[in-house]
Amino acid sequence: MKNRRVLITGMGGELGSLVAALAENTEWAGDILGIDVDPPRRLLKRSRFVRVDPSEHDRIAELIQEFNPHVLLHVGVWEPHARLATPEAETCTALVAKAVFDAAHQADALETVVVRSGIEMYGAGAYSPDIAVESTPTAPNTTYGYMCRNIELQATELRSARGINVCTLRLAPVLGAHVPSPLGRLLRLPVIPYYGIGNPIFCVVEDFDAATAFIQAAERNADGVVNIVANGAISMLRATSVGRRMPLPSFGPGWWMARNVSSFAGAPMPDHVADLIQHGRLAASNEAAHLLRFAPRHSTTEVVRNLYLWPSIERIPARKQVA
Amino acid sequence: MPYAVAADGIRIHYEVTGITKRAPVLLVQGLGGEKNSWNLQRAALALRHRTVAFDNRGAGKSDKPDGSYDLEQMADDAVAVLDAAGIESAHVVGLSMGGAISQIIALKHPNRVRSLTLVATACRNHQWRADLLQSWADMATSDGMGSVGKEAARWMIGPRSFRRILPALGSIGPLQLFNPANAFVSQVQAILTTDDRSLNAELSNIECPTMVVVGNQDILTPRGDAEEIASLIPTAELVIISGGAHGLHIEHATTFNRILLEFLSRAEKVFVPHGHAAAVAV
Repeated sequence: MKNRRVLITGMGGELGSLVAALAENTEWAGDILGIDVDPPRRLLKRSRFVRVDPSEHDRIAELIQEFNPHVLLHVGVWEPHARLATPEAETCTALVAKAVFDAAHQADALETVVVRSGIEMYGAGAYSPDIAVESTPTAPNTTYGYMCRNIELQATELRSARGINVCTLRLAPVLGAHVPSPLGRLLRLPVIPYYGIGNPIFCVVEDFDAATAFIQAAERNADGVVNIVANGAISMLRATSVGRRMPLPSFGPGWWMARNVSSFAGAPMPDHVADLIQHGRLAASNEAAHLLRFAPRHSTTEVVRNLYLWPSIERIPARKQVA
Repeated sequence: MPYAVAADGIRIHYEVTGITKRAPVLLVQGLGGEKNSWNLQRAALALRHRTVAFDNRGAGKSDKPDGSYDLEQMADDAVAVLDAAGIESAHVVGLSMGGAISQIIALKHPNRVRSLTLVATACRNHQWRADLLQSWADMATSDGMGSVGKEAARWMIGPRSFRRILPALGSIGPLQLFNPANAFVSQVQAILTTDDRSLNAELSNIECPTMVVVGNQDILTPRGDAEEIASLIPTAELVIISGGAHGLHIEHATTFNRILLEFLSRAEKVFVPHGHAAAVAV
């Protein structure tokens, strides 16, 4: 497998840029084209980027058909309140997915599709299992969960229509030094609200691990659903202790107030994050090692610990120091 | 109201603040911006430096001639400001388009530059950015500057602050209120017509202490642009401010000012006045 044309949607996001950077270092990736609303964050050496508006259905379709990719990495999913508020995130995600999957039906060379989804697909609360694995029935109960379900439905249709391999990566909340994440912002607040009834636990995944999973899935031409989660779990209370933050137990009207105060403090809590805090969200993978030969580098506790170690100012010294 | 006069007779408005005998700092604004957008920096630098802020041609109180501008001409304008202020050399701080102008100043007039601070800027006209700027120019011409300010806000402010719109006023205000569309369009053309390939090829010749500053949420000149400049200038250190966007000098003024003051202090310590080294050798 060499000289594969790789299309990366969502290349402008931190995760998309990281996926592109990793793709550039593979032997099998030839031309790499990225599309997104925003430009790539990282310095990419051989990727080409085209800025598109999600509403430009025909232009996106033309770009994809002209490029005729062998590999489609659909990273272009807007987590609510990561960069856009929930309604805008929902609209952009739906528009881009429609344009991309419509075009993918017509792209002759397409062999492999890897799609970003989330463990929010499994829902939470009394009707969900304690730890979701790939075979667990899905029951999304949040806006982001429904967004992921729509993408997965379109990916499944593509698989049936074209008979190509489609790998759906259900990512735990992605955290990384530069990743805009509603959960990450919340956990970095000096005072962290947590749901005072019970102390539910959740898992996350590091951005590098999530990006690696995309590359592994493409490289191995994987087919099926894979949960991408860091090992272990953590509770909000434990996270506040790790980060030396002040915990604020909240429930009832206090919970409503905590959500509004955190929003005012710059860390709005979309419903999937509120649901995670109230009910926890756990997943594990039976397929990652088998299908992708993938194992996360960091555990959930390590990812959360690293969250508190990110410097607010990162300095990279000059090659030739004169001052 | 002090003005410098450029080679083609255009009047460039500037203002000097701070302490006269201290190391001078020249502040170069970005597209559509005027010198008042540096007010938070001028206040922070006032006790330790002599600060010169000016309006690029086409902005603020400087002349706004019709026709095309180019960045080399704007770099010469900046040097004319130094001449008018009686300053032989200065620490040059450039923001966005001002960063590109500053790179040209450092290349064309190395003896006038004690150090270089390049903030939220780039050394390459990516096609996507050229298209974006052209669309702003078209919008300014057809719908006026107000519509540009509204459109540009998303590109200037980080997602967190976007909800708390106040910091936008410093960056977006001048775009919306003071500049005529023709001058804005001319500044855009100055960026678009720059030969970025030859600029890139020459950046390795910059030898002064250089600091490249970028916010990790900047989408107009993303981190990749800063990484590229830092990779091309051997003496460049890279500083990434978490949560900062394109208008980080306003949005994260305290952090930025602290970094700037610390860098200027280091750079001033190693500064050798032009001709001094040769005189010592003789």
